[in-house]
Order: sequence, then C-alpha cells, then structure tokens
Amino acid sequence: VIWGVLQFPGSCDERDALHACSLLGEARLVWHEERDLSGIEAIVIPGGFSYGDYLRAGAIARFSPAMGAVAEFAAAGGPVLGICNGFQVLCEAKLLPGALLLNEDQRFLCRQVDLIPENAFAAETTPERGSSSKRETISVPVKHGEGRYWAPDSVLDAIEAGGQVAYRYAPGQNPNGSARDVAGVSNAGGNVIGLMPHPEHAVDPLTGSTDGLRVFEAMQMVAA
Amino acid sequence: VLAHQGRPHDLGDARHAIGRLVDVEMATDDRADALAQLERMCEQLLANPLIEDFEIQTL
Repeated sequence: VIWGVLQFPGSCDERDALHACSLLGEARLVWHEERDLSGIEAIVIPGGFSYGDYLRAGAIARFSPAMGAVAEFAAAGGPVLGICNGFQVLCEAKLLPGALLLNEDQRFLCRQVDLIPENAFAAETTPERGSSSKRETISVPVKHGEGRYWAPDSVLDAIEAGGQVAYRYAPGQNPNGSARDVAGVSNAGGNVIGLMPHPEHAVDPLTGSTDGLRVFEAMQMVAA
Repeated sequence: VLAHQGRPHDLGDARHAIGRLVDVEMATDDRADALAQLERMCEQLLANPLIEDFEIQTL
C-alpha cells in the first residue's frame, strides 16, 4: 500500500507515522497545501497541534486544501486513519461523529493504556490473533490535553449499535473521562477511523509495544 | 455541552459559563447579508454547534 501522511503547520507526529507506514509499504508526506493525492491508497492524519489548535483542536485544519482532498478520498471509500489531533480534525470535518473535549481533569496526560478492540476493524488488530497466546487488548500510549470523547447519547447509542465504536479503554483505564470509555470510532462506511491513542508510537520493540503496527496492518486490509 | 472545559464543579445555584467573544468588523451596509455571513462563520468555524452554542450581537 502507498501511504500519504498529512502534515500541517504544527503537526508533530508525522515522522513516527511515516516510519510506521514505511514498515509496511511506501509512504510520503502530504503538505497541507497539496490537493493532489493521486497514487495514494491510504491516508494518515497525524497528531500534533495543527495551526496551533487555535479556536478548537482541529478546527482550522479542516479548511486546508489537503483536507478537502481527503474528504473526497474518504467519500470514495479510501481508508483514512486520524490519530489524536488527526481524530480531532476528522470530527471537526464531520467525517466522524462526536467531538473531543478537554480532559476531565483539565491536564495534559501521557501514559501507556490498554485498548479493547470492539468492532470488525479493531478485531483485526488483536495481538497474536488465531494463536493460543491471543491477548484481548492492545497496548499503546496516549498523550493529549483534549481527548475526552463526547457525543450526545443518541449518537453514542447509534454508533454502538452500528459497530462504529472501534476501541474502548480497558476497565479502569479511561484516562480522560471519555463517554462510555470510547477511545476510537469509525464512520458508517468503516473506512475512516479516528483514535485518540497513538499506534504509530508503538511499532518498535524499543518503545515497549509493537501492537500499534497492527492498526496500520488493519488499515491496509481496508485499502485492499 | 455543560462542563466543556472539564469536570463540572458544584457552584450551588450560581450560573457559570466559560466562553469566547469574537469581535468581527465588516465593511458593509447590508445588515441581512452581514448577519447571514456571521451565522455561517459561527456554524462552520467559530463554534462547533455539536458542543457549543453561539449568539450574534450587532452594535
């Protein structure tokens, strides 16, 4: 798969995302002023502070030329993974339901968490799937100030019923007060995924977990 | 959304809100058009209607 990793002024996780994608295929950065995504088969919108996160996290990025192209790419069924600020951008762009609010305790946080895969996409990321040593959770870091997933109860009910909740924080590990422990969601079509935790920071044994790579592998299956 | 800025704190009966005030100067005599533009700015950028309310006042 040929990957495109968006880069806005203020992005900061695009290098790790690019590295994760490079482990699986070709990858290149897409500058926010670019509109041409030809040849790209999967998009990653990385973490950081796009356009300084002024107004609300992710609010301004949705107006960039690159996001216009991503909206068309997503509408055509192309796989899009938004991580952290990328998740916030996708919510602001209305490509995903809900919003990310300031953490419940109003502090930036950074820690390793366990995620429970909930939907069909996430099930593909379960470690050692098919083997007897199968674990039920994946271990990845979170680091954010505005990561509290929120949507009206009617929307939460609908996305739960529709298999759009991708991951939940493991019991007792919800770090930010997210509604119903939601850590990641997908759109109705299943091709747009948003995650608050950072799979791109968990692809090398050096960082203690390689579970994050499975998220990128699952994106490849969406692209196929 | 109540407590948009974090966990709700009990302030008794006191109404409290944290928000943002945006001053916009527009060079136009067409009040209706200006209000329509402001409405669009609020819905698409200045506020996220899912979690924020907005109110437009003209001077």
